[in-house]
Amino acid sequence: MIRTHPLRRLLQVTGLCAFFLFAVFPVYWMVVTSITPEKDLFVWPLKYFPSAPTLEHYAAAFLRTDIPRFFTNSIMVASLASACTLTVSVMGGYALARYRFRGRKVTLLMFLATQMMPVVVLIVPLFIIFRMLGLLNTLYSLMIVYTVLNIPFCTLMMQGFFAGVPSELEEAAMVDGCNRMGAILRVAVPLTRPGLIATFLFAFIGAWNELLFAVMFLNSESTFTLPVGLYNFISKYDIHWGRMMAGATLALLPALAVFAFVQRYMVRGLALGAVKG
Amino acid sequence: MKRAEPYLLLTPAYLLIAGFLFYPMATVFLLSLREYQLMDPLNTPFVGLDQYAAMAGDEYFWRSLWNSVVWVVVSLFFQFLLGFCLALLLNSTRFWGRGIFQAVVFAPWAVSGFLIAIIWAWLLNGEFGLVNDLLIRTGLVDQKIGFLSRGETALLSCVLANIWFGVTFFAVMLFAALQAIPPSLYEAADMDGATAWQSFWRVTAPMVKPAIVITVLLRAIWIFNWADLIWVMTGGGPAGASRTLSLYVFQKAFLGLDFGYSAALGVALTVVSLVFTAVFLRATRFYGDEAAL
Repeated sequence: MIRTHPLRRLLQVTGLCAFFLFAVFPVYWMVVTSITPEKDLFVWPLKYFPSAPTLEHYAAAFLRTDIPRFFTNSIMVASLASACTLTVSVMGGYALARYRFRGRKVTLLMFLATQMMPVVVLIVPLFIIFRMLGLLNTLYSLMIVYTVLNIPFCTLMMQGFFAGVPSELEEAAMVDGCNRMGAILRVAVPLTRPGLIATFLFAFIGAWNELLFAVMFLNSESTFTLPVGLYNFISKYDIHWGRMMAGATLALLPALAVFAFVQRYMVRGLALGAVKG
Repeated sequence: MKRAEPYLLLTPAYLLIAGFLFYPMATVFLLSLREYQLMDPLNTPFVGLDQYAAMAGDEYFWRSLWNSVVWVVVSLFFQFLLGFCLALLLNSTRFWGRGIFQAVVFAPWAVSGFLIAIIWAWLLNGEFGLVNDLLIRTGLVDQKIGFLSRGETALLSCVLANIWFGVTFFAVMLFAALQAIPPSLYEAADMDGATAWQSFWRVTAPMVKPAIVITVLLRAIWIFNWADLIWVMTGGGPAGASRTLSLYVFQKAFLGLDFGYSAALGVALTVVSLVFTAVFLRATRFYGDEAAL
């Protein structure tokens, strides 16, 4: 039992506030930088609050760069890849949750093992494979890679969600004349809807954030995803920090919105052996 | 027919994983035995173990390996320490708005390596960075420090950004483990007259040990393999001072366009991960049981 001594309470509150500031401050600074007028960014000492907030960096990001196109590309790749991931994971997760079959344990272990694979090592061989397939410099190559990288984790996650739904309902549906596919699609899948959404969004964040494969596979600006596009701003010019932070804020918003939804499922998903960053 | 159902349902997953994870992983080793320059893909002579021999004499390789050790150990130490503190705090404090607090504190998890790198590169900027401003205002230093451009601080700056990002992961995992401890254990300890210190070491610690072992292992491997944060923050510089092995694998392919050597480095990276995993599991006497699945 926890007795709360005033001194202890004070320590707890201080500790929690410290963590809060540590977590929030870098993001706060990114947003502040993105709305500080250019001339105020490079004065010393720094201003911690923008005295005259402006959207000039956002306007510049939208009008004078290709960020809108990078944004569209990223949305496309991430949503298609996570839709594919979800489809494959629903099938696989269902099989692992509902059937006892030879090789089930090996399959589970294999999925866990892929989570330890050094992804950076795969870049070269996959580059060669996609060159043979003629898919380099297209968004298809990334869709395939992101789908595959997310499948093991998402399948394990879906398995957990299906295992949480009683199988009697599907059996009843089959007694009533549904076949197995019908029972999956009409009973099991609707019952796990929060799980489906969470799995989709996990895959989405992963695909949305990925940089190294994208930078290796894409070389014309029309195909760049948002991370590649923003990375190019660093390497090409002097960094325009204001504009950079505006772009970064835009890139972070979808991920944060998604995170707000999935964080409830995070504990469970991570406990299944996830190593997603 | 019914017996084939699970296999049919798993076929797409099996095929994709075999084709795009296991097959390429297997070809990395074969590739490492060939001289393979990206600019000259038709001329890839078999050179046997030559590239491994070159690696043994490559001072940058050894340096990157050492940097990887620093990168993993220091990051992990602080992520674990702070993450455990945060989990304990969350577990023992009841307050209004805890759900929202938790969501905010856990949010760094959603920030990509690329954005973390950009944000921290700006915070640590040597000219107009916030950290320099704070240090000067509080009188801790009297001259701006170029954190990312100095050899002694470049890697540690990346470690700092990594800590910011990774505390969350530990906090989430350990918080879940703490919540799963039945309160009756603490009540029993209390009745036997245990002090808070004793019940921490005799109840909390052993109960969360499996979670700690698996989390540390997964994170260690993951951090060891993680390249984009450092790549964006410092590019491995100055002069390789912050280049880790995983970044070296990537840069050999991306900048050096030397696929053969990159593959050899990749094999080294994989071997180190496997050896580490085996030693770690043995040292902690942890055997993956059903619970891990």
